[in-house]
Amino acid sequence: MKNPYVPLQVTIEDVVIENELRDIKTFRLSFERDEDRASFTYLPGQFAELSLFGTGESPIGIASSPTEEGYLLFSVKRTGVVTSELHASAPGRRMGVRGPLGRPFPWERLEGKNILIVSGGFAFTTLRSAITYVLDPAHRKMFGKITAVYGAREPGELLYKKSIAEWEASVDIEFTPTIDRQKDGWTGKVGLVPNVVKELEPSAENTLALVCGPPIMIKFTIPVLRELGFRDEDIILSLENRMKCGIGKCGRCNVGPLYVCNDGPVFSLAQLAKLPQEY
Amino acid sequence: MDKALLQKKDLDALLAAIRMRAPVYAPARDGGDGGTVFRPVESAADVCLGQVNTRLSVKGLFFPQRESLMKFSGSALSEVTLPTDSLVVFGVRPCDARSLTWLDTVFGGGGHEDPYFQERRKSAVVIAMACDQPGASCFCTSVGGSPYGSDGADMLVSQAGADGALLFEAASEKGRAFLEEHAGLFAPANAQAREAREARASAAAKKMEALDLTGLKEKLDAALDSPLWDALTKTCLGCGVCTYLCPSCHCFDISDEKSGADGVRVRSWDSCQYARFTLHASGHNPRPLKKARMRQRVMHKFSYAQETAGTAFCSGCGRCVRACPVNLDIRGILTAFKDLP
Repeated sequence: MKNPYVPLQVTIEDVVIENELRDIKTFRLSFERDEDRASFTYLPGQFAELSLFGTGESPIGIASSPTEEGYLLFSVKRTGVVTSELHASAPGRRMGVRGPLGRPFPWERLEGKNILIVSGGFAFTTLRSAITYVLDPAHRKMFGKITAVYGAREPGELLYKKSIAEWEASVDIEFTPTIDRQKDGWTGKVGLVPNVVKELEPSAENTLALVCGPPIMIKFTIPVLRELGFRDEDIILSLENRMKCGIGKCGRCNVGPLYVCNDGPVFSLAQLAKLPQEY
Repeated sequence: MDKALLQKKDLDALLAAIRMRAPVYAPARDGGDGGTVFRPVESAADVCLGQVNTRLSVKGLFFPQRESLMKFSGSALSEVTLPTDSLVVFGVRPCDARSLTWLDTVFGGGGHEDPYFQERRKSAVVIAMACDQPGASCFCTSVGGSPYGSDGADMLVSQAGADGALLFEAASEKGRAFLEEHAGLFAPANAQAREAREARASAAAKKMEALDLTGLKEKLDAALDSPLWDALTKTCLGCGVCTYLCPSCHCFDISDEKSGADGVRVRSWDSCQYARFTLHASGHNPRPLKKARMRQRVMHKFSYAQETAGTAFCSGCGRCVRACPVNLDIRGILTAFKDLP
């Protein structure tokens, strides 16, 4: 019997400071054992428990794509005990990873479809995984048009700046970064994410929307998507709730009968409409 | 052999025979106030079978209040601490035994087996003791159980008659094997003992008032925003005793304890009745109010579990009713929602 509580041993290989506030860092982790690397098969949208012995665990979305072989990326905001300890860690530190956990974005449904990605702030991490995955030459032809809107308060708060530059230049994706208010030196779009989506008017036909962001962004984006003709089952969200076990046993991340850890974190808006808003 | 009689005087011999292989846990005195808990017993004299139920449910034998999951040294795992001991539990009430089937669903299901629970459960023999004197707070018959039920048990034991004999009925393969193994101590169950058992079973069930909870789930699902949640839980102190004593509540916390570089990762019972249970690191709390937390407790048992496991997660053991410091009675809550138009 595989013990789902035992973390796989990894080492921090690299740490990148992602934003000007310096409270989001991306950690590149490599497995210490080859068999762990081979057994960790995942898809974009899944998460893992980052495990620091003596401090605890924290559930974090996987920011790398399975097409990036040999390592895992996690972008972590410094918030609580575990993430603070992680932020104080340097390359070379040994730690644990438990996963992959949860269900990914609905890749079987996404195949053959256009994809609209809508994201704001720090919640972009698993969508970085999704974009990297769909843009991989082996995958790109499996999907139709790919459109992405990604917003942050100001330019310095956009994550993955190098990748953004590549995506903006790519013909395989229509990528629009936006910031809330004009800032010197910014030549891109200015405006809140829901407004930019409205302006771009992406077609809802044969399209699934992946929406990850702060609650306020989601609240104002949903009416825009519905107006564009998106059905609730085609609007895909990713939730977060406090977790411990990550495998549907400890009882704290449920929304109605569904556990965010095991049944999610990815849900369609249609699934969530019937449940208490406990997230 | 499915049914067999044991003379009460031979209970000691049976316990001694079992103890050759595994420790026997049974209801035994806990302090001076007459309460009982499951503890290792050495002889029949230690076993208390007259009480309505043990203070703590049987769940702690399989899912301890606190257990070590693993040990670490520095930043590396040093030892996974899986349980290895087997046990025999004697004198479990049918309500508690039935709850074990739901813990089986939780810890064995969802695509992830919990090895700590499963190891203990698979090696254990659960011997239930039928209930002839249900307490005022018992309501197993309202939630699909029975004082002579054997769900979740390997064996059901009942008082076979005035002569003090005990009737053992196997309820699983493990139970049958147990009776075979100790066949020398048992006599075949006669027709008289079987008839007496039926009469006692129906008499025991009649001692409880059965609530009609038909359609409760639909009523609850339609009443998520009902002001009743607030009204009915105003007096709740949020102490969580209902969840700790509940034989089917399974929420837990995982935390690290260390001294120097070495330490243990510990799992301990937790409760959905605590405000910090769902508190995000960001400060956001999806269930900030008492009424939302009580709604979670009731909905989990009587609605969500129906959807995920096809049954309500309440065995009617009545511990939450007996122990509540402000006399909140879950039967009253259920009836109030059931009676909504």
